[in-house]
Amino acid sequence: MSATLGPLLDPVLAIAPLADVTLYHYLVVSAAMFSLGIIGFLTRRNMIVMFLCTELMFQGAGLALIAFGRYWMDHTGEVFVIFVLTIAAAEAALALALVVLLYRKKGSLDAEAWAQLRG
Amino acid sequence: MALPRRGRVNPQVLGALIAAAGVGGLIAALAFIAGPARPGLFFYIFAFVALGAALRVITHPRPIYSALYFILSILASAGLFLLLDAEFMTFALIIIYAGAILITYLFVIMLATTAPSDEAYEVLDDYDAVAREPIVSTFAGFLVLAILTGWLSVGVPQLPKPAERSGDAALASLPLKVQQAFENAGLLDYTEDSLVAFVPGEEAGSWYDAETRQAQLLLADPAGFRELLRHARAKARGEAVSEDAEALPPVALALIQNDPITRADGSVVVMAAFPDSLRARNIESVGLELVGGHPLALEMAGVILLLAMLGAVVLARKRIDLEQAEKLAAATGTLGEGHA
Repeated sequence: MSATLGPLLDPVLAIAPLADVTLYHYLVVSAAMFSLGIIGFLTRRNMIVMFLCTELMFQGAGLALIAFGRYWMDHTGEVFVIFVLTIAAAEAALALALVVLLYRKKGSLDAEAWAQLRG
Repeated sequence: MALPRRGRVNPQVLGALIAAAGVGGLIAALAFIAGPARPGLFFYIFAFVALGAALRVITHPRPIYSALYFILSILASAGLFLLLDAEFMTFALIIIYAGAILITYLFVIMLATTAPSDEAYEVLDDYDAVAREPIVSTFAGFLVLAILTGWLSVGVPQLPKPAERSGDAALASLPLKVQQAFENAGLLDYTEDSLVAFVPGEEAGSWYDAETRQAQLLLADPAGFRELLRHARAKARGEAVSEDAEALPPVALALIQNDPITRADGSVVVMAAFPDSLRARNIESVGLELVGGHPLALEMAGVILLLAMLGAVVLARKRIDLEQAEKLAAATGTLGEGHA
């Protein structure tokens, strides 16, 4: 199948040439994911989704770490991502316990229901 | 602007799903047909899926779908990790994130979501349906993105290329296992005309050219290695070398795959395959780095996890005694602002 379709696809692939993927590509993806996390954290009012967006930011950071680790052929980046995962797990446990507590108190997941915390 | 708003109906969701499935199928077909020739294709597929799913995480009005899209984003990120030769982190990510953390999220979403009543088929809470300051926040987010990518486009080209790393730096980055085997073989004292043999690595590696795609120094049996040295030096000097299989030890013969490259500093680089038995697996390297390089951080991570678990238990078992009326009000979601 690939033998017959390969030549046919060549013009298709020539239109959209895929440049060699470099470190820069991975870093841009990670920055985009981080920014999406920030946008979500700022716009969403549901506390659970806000914490999901912080996890998105963790994802972006982890991708950058692993990309740099691959660039330098160094495994420290991966080890760092392990610690990021650890912190993400701890953060998820604590944040979700807080969310459950707040939901029981107010009956709402709206972050703005707690606006009086601004003092 | 795809941020959720109340009252917007999406009749074209079905069509979008069908179109997405079609596009996905097309991409998959492309990947299968042209993938081996174009390793970059998988990067674009995974990046597209990861970012698209991340976009849906922040735009979907229902938290449960947000969480499911987040799992999709995690899986695509795991694919990117796989492309980056981080196999251990790929599966750790899937198991820990998609398997453990997201399940916790789903549990809490189930615990803390208003149940649909009889008359309303779907209950979309106001705080899910209406975004907060969407324009300003999106502007801020894209500003962050612009700043990040701007800095990246300036900073990344200034990074020292791995190509410029010396043989010593390559030695320093050796996995412990390989380094020890190297020392045992008495091959560590190489002089300026000595030969550094690099592993070609996986063919899918994309941002290293053939010369710089080093992973570990060559570790063959010492006799074969020395024979390889002699052979490659002779070849680099332009002498006639015997390509006869009888003249070379079988190991060295198997190792010579490319022509040696003479670098500017006079060292000779030979691309050579690595014996499978000595190739440090990703998981071994990560384990050595984790336990050997960061033991204190590892212990602290354990302590943090323990403390977080205790904290979560303490938080979650705190009772809040509501009056019956308040409970009713809370259950119907009509608890007034005045209470706050």
